[in-house]
Amino acid sequence: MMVTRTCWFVLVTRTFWFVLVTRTCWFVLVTRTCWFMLGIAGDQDLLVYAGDQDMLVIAGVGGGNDFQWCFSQVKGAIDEDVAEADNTSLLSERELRLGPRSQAVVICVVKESEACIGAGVSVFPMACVVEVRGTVAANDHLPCLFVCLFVCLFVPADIISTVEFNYSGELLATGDKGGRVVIFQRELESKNRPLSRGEYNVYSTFQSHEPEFDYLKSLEIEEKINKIRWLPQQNAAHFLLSTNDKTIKLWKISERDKRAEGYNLKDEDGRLRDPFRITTLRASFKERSLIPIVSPPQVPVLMPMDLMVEASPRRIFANAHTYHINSISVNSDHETYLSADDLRINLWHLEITDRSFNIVDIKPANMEELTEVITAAECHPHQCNVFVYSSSKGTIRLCDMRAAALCDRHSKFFEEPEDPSSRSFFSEIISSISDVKFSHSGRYMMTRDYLSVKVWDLNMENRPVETYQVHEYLRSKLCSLYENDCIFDKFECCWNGSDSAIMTGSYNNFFRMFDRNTRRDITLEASRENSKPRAMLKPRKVCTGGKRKKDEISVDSLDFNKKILHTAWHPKENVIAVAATNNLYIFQDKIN
Amino acid sequence: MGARGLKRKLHECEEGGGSVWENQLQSVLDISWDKFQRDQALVEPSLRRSVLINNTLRQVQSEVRTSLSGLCSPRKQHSPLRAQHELRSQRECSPADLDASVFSVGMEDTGDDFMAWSTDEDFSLSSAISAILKNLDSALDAGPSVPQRFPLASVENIPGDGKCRQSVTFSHMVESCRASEVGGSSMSGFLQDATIDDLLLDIDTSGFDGDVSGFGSRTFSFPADELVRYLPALSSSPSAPSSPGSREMHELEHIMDILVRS
Repeated sequence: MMVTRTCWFVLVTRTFWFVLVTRTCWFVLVTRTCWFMLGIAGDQDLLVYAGDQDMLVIAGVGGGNDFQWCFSQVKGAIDEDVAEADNTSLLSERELRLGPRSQAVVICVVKESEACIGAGVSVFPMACVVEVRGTVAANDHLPCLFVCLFVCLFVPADIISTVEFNYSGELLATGDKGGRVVIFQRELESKNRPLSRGEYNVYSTFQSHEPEFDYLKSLEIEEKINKIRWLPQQNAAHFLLSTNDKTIKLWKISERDKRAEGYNLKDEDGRLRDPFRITTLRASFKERSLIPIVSPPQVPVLMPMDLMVEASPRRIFANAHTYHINSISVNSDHETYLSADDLRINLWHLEITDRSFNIVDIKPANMEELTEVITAAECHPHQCNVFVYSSSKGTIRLCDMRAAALCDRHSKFFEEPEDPSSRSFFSEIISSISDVKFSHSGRYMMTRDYLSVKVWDLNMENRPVETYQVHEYLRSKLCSLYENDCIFDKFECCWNGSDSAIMTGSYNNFFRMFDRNTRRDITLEASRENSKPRAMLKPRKVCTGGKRKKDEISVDSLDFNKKILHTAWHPKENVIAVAATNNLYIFQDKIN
Repeated sequence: MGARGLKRKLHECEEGGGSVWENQLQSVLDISWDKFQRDQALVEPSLRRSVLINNTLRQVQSEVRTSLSGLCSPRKQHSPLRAQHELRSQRECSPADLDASVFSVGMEDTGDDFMAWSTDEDFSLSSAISAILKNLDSALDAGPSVPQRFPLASVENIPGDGKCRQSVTFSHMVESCRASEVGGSSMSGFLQDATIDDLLLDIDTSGFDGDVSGFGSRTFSFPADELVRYLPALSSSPSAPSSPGSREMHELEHIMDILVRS
């Protein structure tokens, strides 16, 4: 629900619900530990009823034009679950930014007498950034015209964890940390604006995975969607596989735009009629006629209705992975798919959920000897017997399922010999491959390690054919990046439809594109400021040393919390989807 | 902060270049150890992350070891055989226990991991170890409620189990390493060495010159004032160790922690 100028707001979450209605400003807030109710407030007098001894709530009339916010005190926490203790303590001027699992209590007091204290609230979808300015003592008696108190408890922000176009590019699926899948559909180009490309609008949203609890290990299984892979479309419905750490689900997304009416077995209001009483086909009665006119018996007819998109889980593939699933990949036979965790790869049949074949197992007999884990795996796009998997040591193994049932012995082994001059303590960590993708042609594959992207020819195992540096300027900062854990970030990469360009993400919401033919590269930024409709993206540059030119960013001012880990490229056109934390940016190339 | 690791050459070890490398070595150790500890506290650390941190720690170990093995051959007088033996067994426990600790959390086959040792012919580590000790002390100062677990060292120090020992061997290692590193000066000479002095502050050197056998089952506990007390007594006989009572408590906490996790 949104806050508008007429000031009505409804917020319902799992822990509380809050209703604030109209300019006469009465609101009710009910949480698990307290309640508030406010009656009508006049110009000066404020009537407050608070049902919790720790919380003092003051509210008043919210009339007037502009709705301005500023921050007030919080006395005590509303809810025990409020995790971030910082946010519940007395807050003064600062920006309150919510992390993925944080909940915060924000009290905003609107005062007209205060000079223009404003706060912006942006909600997408559940993320919120509230800028708070100024403090107001909660129990001041404020003789201003309108004061409004607003309390809200924000649900954790939803960080996008995977992005994937379907085979035709018509649909774009995103998965987030809260286990939700949001599918966007491209609108057909309208005749009125022939030059405009179709926009992507929300098509369907559903909760794919819920948090689970593993009782044996006393561990919570996160509901974060690790990967989404579409199945090729075979009928009107769309199918996709989504996975969290342990369970893979096959979802069917179908449209429904017709509804049957005129049932014989059901009454008008939906109640089932007693079957024994039905002796004839029901006859319809004309409405509003005094004399019932009985028409011939009818069978149910399909009536059009508003388009409804339904998602239903068709298969659940569970209990096959001890470790965290990091990849799924649909095979080119469209019947099987593989799923890979840290130590094992399983092959599934889409129809069979109670068992899978284990095709790779690198778990050592003695776990102490473990030095390498599987980081990504993918099926070959054309040869259904071939797949590759990458490791944390920077190696890629290509396996042929025809050779043996258990593919522990690889057919090809891809590794680039280490450059001894650039060896450091972090050599191994930065060589760990975070993503591997076959080209659409099936002849090449691309791997992403921490600092570079490498293109390999499947016929040449000893070195890649192309290497692109993504952010070489970070090489001198590896120790700091190790310290703040950024060195463990897993970036993804993607090909364009014709395999002539590749794209991957970086920090500071930058993403990089490399043209394989011209050897040119470009750095672009995904940010709200730069995102006006149809605005061209300006190339960005990172200044590595020496004098910083205008428009360049120095390495030290990069924001390492803003990282683009997930990107996707439309399979046929030049449309890209870039996930920046909890925002999804879609860029298209300019039509001349 | 830290730059790339430089390939350390033999002749550089006593010069400034060596200290740069040492600094980086120390910082990598600090950070890795910190992460290692934090991951232990997590319910289920990511396996990839654990493996990478573990490999980094191992790599640092081996770097130190190789750099020292080139230096330490003429300096055996401060590496008595028994110290070597302890160091060897000490070193053995380290990767094993690291692995055990890393992988025993929430993983399969946790049963006997921490019992396994592997043999290793290398010996003592350098002042990097003393850097670890310094970290441990700072961790101690922070008032930990979790029993201390130290890098490259035995997680359990259960009396009577005949497992790895800690404090004595650390000090042995430090002494022998520093002897070899600085080159032949006496023990007291080390104390004057400014770069190493502060590293030494936190070492429990009790029992350094004394009976090794007496410390078969000593836990690693660091009351800071006691350590400082021991500092000038490096070449003298060891003072009384820290109170057995608290050590027992630490050991028990160790054991309980391991049992709970595995």
